[in-house]
Amino acid sequence: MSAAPCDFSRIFSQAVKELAQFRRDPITVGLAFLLPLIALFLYGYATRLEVKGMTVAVINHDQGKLSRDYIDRLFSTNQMIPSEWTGSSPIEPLDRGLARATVIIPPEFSRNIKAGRLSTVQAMVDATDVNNARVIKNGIIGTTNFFIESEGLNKASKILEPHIRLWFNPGREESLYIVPGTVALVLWVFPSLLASLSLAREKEQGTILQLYASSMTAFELIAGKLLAYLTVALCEAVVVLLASFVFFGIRFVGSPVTFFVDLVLFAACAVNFGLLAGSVAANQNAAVQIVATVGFTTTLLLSGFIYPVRNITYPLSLISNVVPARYFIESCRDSFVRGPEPFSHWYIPVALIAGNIILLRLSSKKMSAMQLRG
Amino acid sequence: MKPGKVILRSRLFSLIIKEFHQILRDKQLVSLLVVPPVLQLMLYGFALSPEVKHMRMSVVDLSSTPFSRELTAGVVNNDVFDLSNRADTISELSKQVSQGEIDLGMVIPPDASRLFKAGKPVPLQVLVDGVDANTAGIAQGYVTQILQELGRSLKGADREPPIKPQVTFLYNPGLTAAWFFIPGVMALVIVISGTLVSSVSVIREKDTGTLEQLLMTPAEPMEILAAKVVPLVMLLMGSVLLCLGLALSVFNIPLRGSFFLFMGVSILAIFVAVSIGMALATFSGNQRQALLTSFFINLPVIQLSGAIAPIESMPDLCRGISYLDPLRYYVSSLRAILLRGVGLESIWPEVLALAFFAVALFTLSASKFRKQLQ
Amino acid sequence: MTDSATIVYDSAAPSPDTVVRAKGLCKSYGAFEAVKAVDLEIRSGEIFGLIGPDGAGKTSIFHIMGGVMKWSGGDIEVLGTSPSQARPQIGYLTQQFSLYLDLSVEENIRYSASLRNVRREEYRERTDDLLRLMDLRRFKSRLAGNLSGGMKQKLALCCSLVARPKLLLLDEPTTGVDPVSRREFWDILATVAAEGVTIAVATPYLDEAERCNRIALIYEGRIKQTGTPDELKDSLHLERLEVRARRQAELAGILEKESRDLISDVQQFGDRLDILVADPASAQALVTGIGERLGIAIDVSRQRPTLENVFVHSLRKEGDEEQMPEFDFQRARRERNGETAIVARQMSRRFGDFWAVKGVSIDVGYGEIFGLLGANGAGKTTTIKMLCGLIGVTRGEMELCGQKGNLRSSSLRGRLGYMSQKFTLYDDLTVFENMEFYCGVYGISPDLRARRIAWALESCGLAGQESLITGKLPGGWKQRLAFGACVMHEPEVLFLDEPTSGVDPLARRQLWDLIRTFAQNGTAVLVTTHFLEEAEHCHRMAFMAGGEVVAQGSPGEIKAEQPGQLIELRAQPIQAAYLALKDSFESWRVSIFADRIHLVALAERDLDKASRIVTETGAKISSHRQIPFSLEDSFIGIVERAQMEVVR
Repeated sequence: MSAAPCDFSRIFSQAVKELAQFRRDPITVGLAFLLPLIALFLYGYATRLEVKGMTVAVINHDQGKLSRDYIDRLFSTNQMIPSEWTGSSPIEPLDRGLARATVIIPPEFSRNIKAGRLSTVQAMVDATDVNNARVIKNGIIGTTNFFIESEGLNKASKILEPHIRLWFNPGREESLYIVPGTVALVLWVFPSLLASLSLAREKEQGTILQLYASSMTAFELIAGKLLAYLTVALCEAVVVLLASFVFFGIRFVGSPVTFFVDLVLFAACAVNFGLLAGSVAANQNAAVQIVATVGFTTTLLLSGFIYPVRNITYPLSLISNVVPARYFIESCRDSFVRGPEPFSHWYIPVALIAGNIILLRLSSKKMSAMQLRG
Repeated sequence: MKPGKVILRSRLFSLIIKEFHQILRDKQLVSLLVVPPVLQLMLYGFALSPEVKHMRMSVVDLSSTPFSRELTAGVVNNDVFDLSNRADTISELSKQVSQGEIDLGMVIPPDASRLFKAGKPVPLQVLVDGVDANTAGIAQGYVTQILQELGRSLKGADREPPIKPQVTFLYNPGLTAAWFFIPGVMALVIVISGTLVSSVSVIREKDTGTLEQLLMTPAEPMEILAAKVVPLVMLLMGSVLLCLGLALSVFNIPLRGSFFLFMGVSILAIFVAVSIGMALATFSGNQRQALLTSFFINLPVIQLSGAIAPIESMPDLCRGISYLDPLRYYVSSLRAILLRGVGLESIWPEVLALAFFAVALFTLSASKFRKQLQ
Repeated sequence: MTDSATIVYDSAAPSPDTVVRAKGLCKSYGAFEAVKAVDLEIRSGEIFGLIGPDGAGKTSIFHIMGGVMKWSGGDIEVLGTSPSQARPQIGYLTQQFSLYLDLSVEENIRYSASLRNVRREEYRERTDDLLRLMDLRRFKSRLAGNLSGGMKQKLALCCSLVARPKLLLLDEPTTGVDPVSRREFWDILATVAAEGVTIAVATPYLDEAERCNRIALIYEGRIKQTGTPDELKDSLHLERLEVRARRQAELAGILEKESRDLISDVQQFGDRLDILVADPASAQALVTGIGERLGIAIDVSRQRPTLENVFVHSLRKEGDEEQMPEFDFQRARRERNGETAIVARQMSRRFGDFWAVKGVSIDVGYGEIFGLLGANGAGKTTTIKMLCGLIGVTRGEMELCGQKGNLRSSSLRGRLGYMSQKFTLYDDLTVFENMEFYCGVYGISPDLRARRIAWALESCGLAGQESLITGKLPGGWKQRLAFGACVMHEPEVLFLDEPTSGVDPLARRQLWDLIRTFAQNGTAVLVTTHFLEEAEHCHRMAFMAGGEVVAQGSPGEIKAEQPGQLIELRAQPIQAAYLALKDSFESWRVSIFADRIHLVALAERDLDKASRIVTETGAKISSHRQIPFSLEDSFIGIVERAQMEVVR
């Protein structure tokens, strides 16, 4: 009988068995490779936070040329596009959802301007989408200012002249923001789902009884599964990263070494989280629910995937400090967009290592009895 | 006929009573109806905030004059920009941006004060972290605006601009971000948990083998189907009311439209969810398969529905596909009813589309279910 | 079939004489006491059987012995230490086999070996030996999920033997497995035991108990009796008389009422009566006398009591047997006049290219109990589904209750009763809610409902327990309740799929009494069962193999049709004798039962040939006698002979 505290050959054969099972189930394999790609494309292409194409209705009570110039100026970028509304009620297109804003140009607009009198342009903005509303408001104000200047109506209005340059992302490609985040999301959700299912299934189908009947320790069991699903996760990562490179033009800007270290640590974190969920859940359904509700939702919302971490209200912002994806997203963005000095953000691997240790201990402890409940 | 009718009624009644007992005893199922909706509503409501506030700014003051100091103070005298860092050289500023320590940096040229006094425009270099294209764009807009107003106030604006835009925010004058997200999340949560609960409840019969027994009783397939659907619809309506209650009480979202229209639209959405769940259960071999397959479906349905990210901003292809997403119509109807307070006359196209999906999906999955029973 | 390979064990460390010792062992799950002060001793090298119905506590005891569960009180020692310390030397075959269905045969064995640190060279040799013994070598790379029930069981056995355990625990290893595989399995077990492995088997099947060296009868957490099967039977001090006569039911009624002092038990079967008597001679005289009085011919033969008798006797001794409540039949009694309820003529069914059922012809009359027997994959399940109208017939004709077409009509289904094998009742409903549901679905009128539900509850002893959650009932009780639920609407035809699996012997008797009551009232009953000895309860039966009916008739007819005689041999040393005989005769003709060998002698000289062979090995035959064929013997014989025909 082996007296060693931890038997590596057992861990290894556990991992081999898990992988053999894994590749025989087409749904699980599809989940591991196909679904992450689908998610990548969906999030990468469809999630666009930048505001454009907002339909704006215009009610022009004036007939002069200046008003038409003003309107043209309004739609000169693609942020706002004209709506087909031709009625007279300003609120109706908003009510009916046909436009996001109505701009009302008062009568005598052109004449007043030429005469140097004040003209008020009214705008009613649908503020359901707060982000859009602000952008539209800024757009109208900006357009107005630009219009005033270009028509030479207010001399010397250029006092402070900003020359704005975008760092890292001169083309303002949205994908550069979303895709690294998607990579992190995808590598968090799917490995943890697979790992949790594998453990919950052993309990549900009773095959875990054979493990209890041997002298396998909880740590060997968890470590074996960790090894197997970490391998799967890394293969997933390769596939997803390749797709990002090919379809979204992502390139390494920072140090690849830092990135790969963080990647391995993060993937291990995901698998460990899944194993913890699997050890706690009574059956496979419950395991999926735990991963979906706790893992997916928190990662989606609190990791900086869509909206910056900085914006999260306290006390939820505290939770985001323990969401591993938050650190890995930062690592991704460092490596693919910012390119800071290598290992300057050392707190990322440290946090991930800490996460791994905690999760591993928790799940080993949960399984430590290696006996039937009763 | 009468005694026959009595028997029919009591048979259907027995089936319905049985379903109710089963669902209500299944703690996991009941928690599915309550916990994820509440949890997600709260999380999404409090965590998602697309505000652009407290951006970390660093200033390189190469001028070091009272004017440049007044300028610096003026730029950060709002809650959009915070002065978090200083730099002595431009390269130091670049490094700060590339390390991710600041969000934007401004360079005041050495001759700033002289240019200002001479009435010439003062060029200010602004470097913006473009990692998050959306935030960068908004920051860009803010910088321009703030500098313009600052310029005017420093100069002592002599003349009022001739055109004054007056922007009114409708429906959400307080610009509360939650008001945009909550209706979307409500729709999302109802449809997702509705699908899940339906598929679990329908497939449970197949899994445990009681289906065979049921088929040998005099119960007709239509009765079995109706008995499954009725309790589900009723319980999901409960979920909807729970979400509505939360939205009204915790987030102070108004219900400006008709409550009956709200319920009507929700019932249609519930039928959509139940149909999808039923289809999943009919086509899947067991519960685990149904659960995992639902992941494949949920992802695109959520993404393309406009619940989180606006549809207008999506590329044309995604926008086109979103017309096939029934959730899209429920989301926009909810926003219209809750926030815009409009009635059927404004949203009838969406309601019609939703009704179409509900009827079509229900008929399809019901007939497949019945065919399987025969 | 299998070439008998010997597995060589190196007796590195000999087992202590007592492998398992338990004193006052207790186990409680919360408030429920599953095991109550159990004393157990399992000796080295024996096959020990723990016999009892579902919920008796067998699995709990095995979990404890296997070191996978803690116990609540008392002491237990396995191989000289605590169970969890002894784990590396224990092989444990759990109830659902614990196989990974998505791994191949080889991968499963390799994984089991790695769990117990079997060294590589040893592993290769062991696997080869084991696979050869169990005839699984050609299935090495097949996925475990694609194996038949019997093969899965053998694979599970391989996995538990690969690490050379000293103690082998088998928890219900043959549940749901066909009789041929079951017998093979036990033959293999005997070989394994002969090499020094101590085997403990938990099983509800009393016939398997005959194959153990020693057994313990367990019921409701307590051991009732321990000893060898013979000892237990002798402890009754009773003999069993098999009585065959017409008007059997009437005769049974008279015997039950009148002669209670002479006769201690009367049991009805399909075509015979069993009575237990202390004084066989007087009893025989009595029975013959009654026969003369009634004017019927009676045939009486003397036999040893069965283990079922032993079990029922001990169960009866301790508690009051519940008086079965009467069922108030609303419908007029239908005499058994030969009118057929179910008719199938040349019925066949195809799935894709595969013919699951070929040309089956069966007829079941009203008031008749008909048994459908066969292995998994024989087409039994498909046949029953066709007979009750669940699936359609590809070829041939079917008639149900006089209806030829539209067998799925609601009105027809209202006249049928169906008890599915897996689940009739909803686990998450209470007992009462389940009963209410079935009443409602079958349209039983509200005033009748209360009475019927009360009857159903009383018939399983659950009166007053309406609010118990059905899922919490032990399997045996659920079965009885399920039966009650199926008959509340007084069906004309009753389909029962394995109705007594997991039920204790006393309850099984009561269930069969119930079935008989309904049959006597005119219900046609179609029963399937794996438990061949139970088929004795049927009036007529059909054996199925390979999609066809290979034998049909009453139990007596089938047994009489068997060619040759069944000889029981005792010899020492038994293993050598057994192996030698197995080599010389067709393997299905030789079977080992603990310390006895059963040999099917087809010709006169077979017995001499057998004696010669045994003596040649150096063994000595101590006794031999002829015993009657059991249904299992008949079934195996029929199936094997049919297969040999195919080969020829």
